[in-house]
Amino acid sequence: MLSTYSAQNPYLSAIIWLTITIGVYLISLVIFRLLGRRPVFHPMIFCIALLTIVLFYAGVGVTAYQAHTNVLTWLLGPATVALAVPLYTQLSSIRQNTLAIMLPILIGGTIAPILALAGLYFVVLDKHVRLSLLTKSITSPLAIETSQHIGGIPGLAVVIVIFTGIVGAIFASVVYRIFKITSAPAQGLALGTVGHAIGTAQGFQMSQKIGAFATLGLCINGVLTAIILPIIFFLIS
Amino acid sequence: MQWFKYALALLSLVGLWFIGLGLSTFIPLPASLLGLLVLLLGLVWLKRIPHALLTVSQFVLGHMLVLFVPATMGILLYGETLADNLLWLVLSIVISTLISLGITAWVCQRLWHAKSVNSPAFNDNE
Repeated sequence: MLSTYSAQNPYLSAIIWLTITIGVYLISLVIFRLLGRRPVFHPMIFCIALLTIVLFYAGVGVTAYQAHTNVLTWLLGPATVALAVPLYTQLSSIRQNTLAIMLPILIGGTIAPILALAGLYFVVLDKHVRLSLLTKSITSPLAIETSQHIGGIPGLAVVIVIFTGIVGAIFASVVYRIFKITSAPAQGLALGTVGHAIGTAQGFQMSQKIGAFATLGLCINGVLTAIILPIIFFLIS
Repeated sequence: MQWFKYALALLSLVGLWFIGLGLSTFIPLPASLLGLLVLLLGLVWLKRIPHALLTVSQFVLGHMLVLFVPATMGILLYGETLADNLLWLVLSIVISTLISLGITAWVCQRLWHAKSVNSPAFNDNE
């Protein structure tokens, strides 16, 4: 039924699907809170599940859905610009602890994609799929554009980015228990560096301080990866 | 009047993104990153964060997850294409993410700790 409407009026279907998306997101947040805000029940999991059901019964394909809700994906750009605000509030902390902030981010930002590629060394994969893994730890809008620069598949790169973020958010507390990480700057910085915006959201759930340092990791790793990857690829090719 | 300020702050974020887009034709970097750097320079020059911008950016960043939803649904698209290697792909991403998460945090904690031992101001804590 919805699909017949969609064919008639693109604006109407955009409004319908935006409303559904925001509705599903709010429902997912409510479920997440009702289940006690446990990281295992990440809101994104319920979003995917609910929307898959809705799309199936509406008879609308994923590509059509993405076209209708394109404006949300586009808004990730301006939302990324807003990261300058928390970054500005942390500028003095960067000056005081330059090494303790920059070195872990450099290490984390480098080993995350390399380890992912190393794990797939013996698996037969398309070259473009491999390249899409390189942007896995940077926030989506940067990943889309960087991935285009280096020859990855932007759509797949984003899926990998989001999956990485959800994995980081869910298992962060377990990993920190194993590695005996107790300091808030370390917990936050790693979450932001490896788990980008979704990890950062998780950081703010843990505490404001962890969230602030996660923002720092997110920004600096995103900036460094977005700058360094195209340069490396420019030099190689 | 307050709403007008919030709308203006929101529009300025969009405007800054377009400035970034314009700059990206000269500088080969993502538009959103260039917009971010322009805003950061602006804040450094201003030496304070306008109240409306702070409120708006906190709201936007707090609900950034909803902006990821359409892109996330792409999981359904690539699930079929990558079906043969899906298990390895998922395993590799999960394991590499967990290891790098642990190592990044561990290095940061070590450096932070070393710093507090070396600097005389923190010696009393030990």
